[in-house]
Amino acid sequence: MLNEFDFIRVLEKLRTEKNMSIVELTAGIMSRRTYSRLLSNETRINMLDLVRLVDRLGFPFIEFVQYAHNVVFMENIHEYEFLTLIYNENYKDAYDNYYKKIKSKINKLRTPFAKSTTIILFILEEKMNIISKDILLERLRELVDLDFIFGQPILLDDYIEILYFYTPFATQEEKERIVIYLYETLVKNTRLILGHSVEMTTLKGFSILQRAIRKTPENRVIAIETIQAAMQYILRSSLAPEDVNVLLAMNELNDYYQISPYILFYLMAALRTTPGERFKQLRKEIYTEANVKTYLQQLEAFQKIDTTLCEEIIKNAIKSLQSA
Amino acid sequence: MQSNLYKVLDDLRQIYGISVSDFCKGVIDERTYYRYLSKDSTSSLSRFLDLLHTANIPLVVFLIYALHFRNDTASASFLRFIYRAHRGKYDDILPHYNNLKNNPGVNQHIAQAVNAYILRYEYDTNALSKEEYIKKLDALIATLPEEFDILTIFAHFFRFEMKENPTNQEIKRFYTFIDKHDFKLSPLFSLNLYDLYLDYALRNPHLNVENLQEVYDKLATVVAYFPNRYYLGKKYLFQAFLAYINKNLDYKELLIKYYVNAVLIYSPKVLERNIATINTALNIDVLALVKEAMLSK
Repeated sequence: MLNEFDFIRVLEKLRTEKNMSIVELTAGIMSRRTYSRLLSNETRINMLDLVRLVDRLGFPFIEFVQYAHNVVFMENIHEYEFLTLIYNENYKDAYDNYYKKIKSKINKLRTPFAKSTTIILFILEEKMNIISKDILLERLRELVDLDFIFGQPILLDDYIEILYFYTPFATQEEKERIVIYLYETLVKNTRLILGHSVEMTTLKGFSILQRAIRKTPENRVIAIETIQAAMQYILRSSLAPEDVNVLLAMNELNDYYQISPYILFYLMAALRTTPGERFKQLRKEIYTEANVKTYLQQLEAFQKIDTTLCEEIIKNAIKSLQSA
Repeated sequence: MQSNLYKVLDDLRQIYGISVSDFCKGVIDERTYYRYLSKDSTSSLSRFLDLLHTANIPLVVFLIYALHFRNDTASASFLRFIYRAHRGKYDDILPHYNNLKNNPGVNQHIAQAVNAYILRYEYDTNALSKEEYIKKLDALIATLPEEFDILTIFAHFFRFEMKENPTNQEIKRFYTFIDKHDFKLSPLFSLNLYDLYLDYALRNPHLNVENLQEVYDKLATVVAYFPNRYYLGKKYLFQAFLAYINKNLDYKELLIKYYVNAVLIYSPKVLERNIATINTALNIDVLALVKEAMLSK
């Protein structure tokens, strides 16, 4: 959550970048003394004065708010790095580098991932043997309110993080509710998705959904529609490493439902180029002799297609749907 | 302006299904809320933030909704157009291009970057000849302040790219801005600028553009937080280029990563074009390298 002083700091940063003097900025709006008091956080500003100052700097107000959001996010990027390390199952680094810092500010987190960060702190504690699995489950049941998330008109990045980390611990009944919720939101577009990165939020949603779909003949249509929608999203966003997580889950569905030969090819290429220890490890598992042979065959075949790889996989999914 | 912000806030209140009385409870009275909504009577910034906070609406939701989802199609298209135009991803760019052409000047400041990208897109798709493109860029630059900022700099850079005999002084001016500008303010525009700068150096190795390592370091820092495959691939490519200049053999592995990643985002035709440039610049057969590397895992 941004506070008023964050806006003042960013205003001052922009003023100095624009080489505008304080007198030029404040003339007719407020005294220099008031501006100095704002900078030392000794007084408050009313919104109209702030809008006027921002206007004088030549920035639309919404853009200015975005700058403020960016600055606070980047200043507190360690909160996001912590979350990313846990997401990539790099528990030791998360513990060594961030645990104490995050724990000490758990009620004062500044990025938009406050709720999920609280949850992953407990997951990390369990991984590092600080708490038992029973305690972890107890904490998760206290903290995760699926009814609240499912009842919201907007799917936020913080909720997706919660679902991502909670789903492996969910009961079968909860998993089925999560599948319905995510299928409606992501495939049928029934909710607005918002967040620091809508792309990242959506892709994480697809990886949770694909992993939670039970592989049965009855779920064939849901699985194909999900793969099609996920690929369409990857085509739009091309975001690593989230696409790898989507593809890992997609590859498992593809093994069962046999939708497109290019999914394994795509996964192997994505794994090869995504930085991170976890992906290096996964590469060792996926790069079997047989898979490498398939990769090289697909590389030859790829050179003959006239669209992108994503579009080719989408075409394959549509064909599968028609024959389903 | 303030009432516009309150209108966005009120849209979100309705999406969240919160009544006005619940929304205002404990922060302001309803009459004051309606006054803010209908005209620019002065509200404190804290009060505005309190309304968001009390309704449990994160600022990021307000921001993204205001930028991308409000019934203002041109605003929604700004970033989407730039994102596509910068990457040369034209397959789904047309609706955004049309929105912007039909609604010019909705957001004057961002428009300074958007207009530059529109001209570049028109030139790239042969809607403008080289002469027309240069003429229009000059006309656009004439309307901009002389001092660069992170949005106006793109018109200047695109014009610079078209110069047949660029001077070191001109290149340095861009680096001076890159060095001074705090990327935290606008990471994505900064990233585009770093990409343009390094790409220019790669395509013109004879010019010995300076400070490549410094710009690369900045690009790598931002890419770590925005790991879109386009930027990730460019990071590998620039890293390979620097390694090649420094006679470090790691450049081969980096080129493989660039190629394998590029397969994921480009069609074979576009990829072939990109690779031809690299093969020539670095005197290498990238595809042969990839096949060899895959076999050795």
